[in-house]
Amino acid sequence: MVATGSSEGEAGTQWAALAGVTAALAMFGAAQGLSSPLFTR
Amino acid sequence: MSPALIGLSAAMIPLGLILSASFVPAAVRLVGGRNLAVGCSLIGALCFLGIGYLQDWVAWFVIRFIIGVVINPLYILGEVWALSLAPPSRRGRVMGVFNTLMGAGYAAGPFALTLLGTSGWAPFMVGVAGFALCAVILHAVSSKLTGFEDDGQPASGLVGFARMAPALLLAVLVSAAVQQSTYALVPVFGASYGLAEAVLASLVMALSLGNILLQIPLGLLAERFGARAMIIVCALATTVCALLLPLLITTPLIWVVLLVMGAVGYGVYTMALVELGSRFKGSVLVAGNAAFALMWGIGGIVGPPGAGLLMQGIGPLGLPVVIAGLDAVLVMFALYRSSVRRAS
Repeated sequence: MVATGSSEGEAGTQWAALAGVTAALAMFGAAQGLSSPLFTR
Repeated sequence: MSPALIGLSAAMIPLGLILSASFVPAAVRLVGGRNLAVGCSLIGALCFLGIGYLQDWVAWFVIRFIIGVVINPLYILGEVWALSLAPPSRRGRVMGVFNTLMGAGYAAGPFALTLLGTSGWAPFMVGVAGFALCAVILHAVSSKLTGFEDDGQPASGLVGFARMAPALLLAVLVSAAVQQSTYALVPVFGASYGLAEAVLASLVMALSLGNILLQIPLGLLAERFGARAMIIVCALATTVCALLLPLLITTPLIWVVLLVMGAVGYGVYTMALVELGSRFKGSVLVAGNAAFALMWGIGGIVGPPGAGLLMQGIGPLGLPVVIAGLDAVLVMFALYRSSVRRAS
């Protein structure tokens, strides 16, 4: 599914993608965390 | 809104999660993981706009259900991508960081409300911005997030996955039931021992803090000792913490117990995720993660009312009895499955 190459460039891109996914999900987590108290006010 | 309606409204999101879990693997095959995740993020943003605009509780029921449906692929694909992108030798710490940041993000939502208040458009726009940013970032890194939709593996449904990894699914079910029962009922438990109201809120905060801070150390331990062994260690530790609750609730040591309990209670889930990523790949990993989402939803719906009923029947000890009982069952089943796997 993902790059398995051994070059440093590929590894860097893989870490960048991982950081991106984590950041995106943290954003989504914040929006989701907002929903419960907001919708039951 | 009455408390009953608030409860029913809150149940709309888990209901959406449970009902949509079975369809996520097929949706990934149909439109691709990247398109599905970006699309769901945008629908999530629209839902927040709709809720801010409509201000109508009947519409909110429907929109909350839709939110439950669209966040499911985001949970599932986010975890699948993190598991797949992580180098195998560092998968434990990567999932620790991932779950820590998810937990921190989740805690940041209510914190933002204390700064912004709940009136006007501002809180809704924060929700819209959260989902929109999620879509933008996922689109930006999308070139690395493709390739498992057509990996040639036979389509594995939730039942098929349950036959392959029943102990992992039980671990998720137990983790969800224990975590959500503890968060919901530990203040009731503390109140029955005469703790002050201000202390009751801090009990939940200690659980959250342990959950957020200790997932990375648990991930490092999984790399050293193996995730399967760590599921058993975390379940055993949760059992011990539950048994210590009534003994230490009125002493300062309760804060240590709650920190550890918050960490290991959710740690069962983190360890199950790491084990899932090391055993499965591609479309089977997606099916497995969808099964995880289903189990999490069921555990969350069944756990708190079940523990609450037992507390009503036998008093405050009902909470530690449920937690210790569930984790003991998990330990026994995981040990049994390990012996079966070794024998085959």
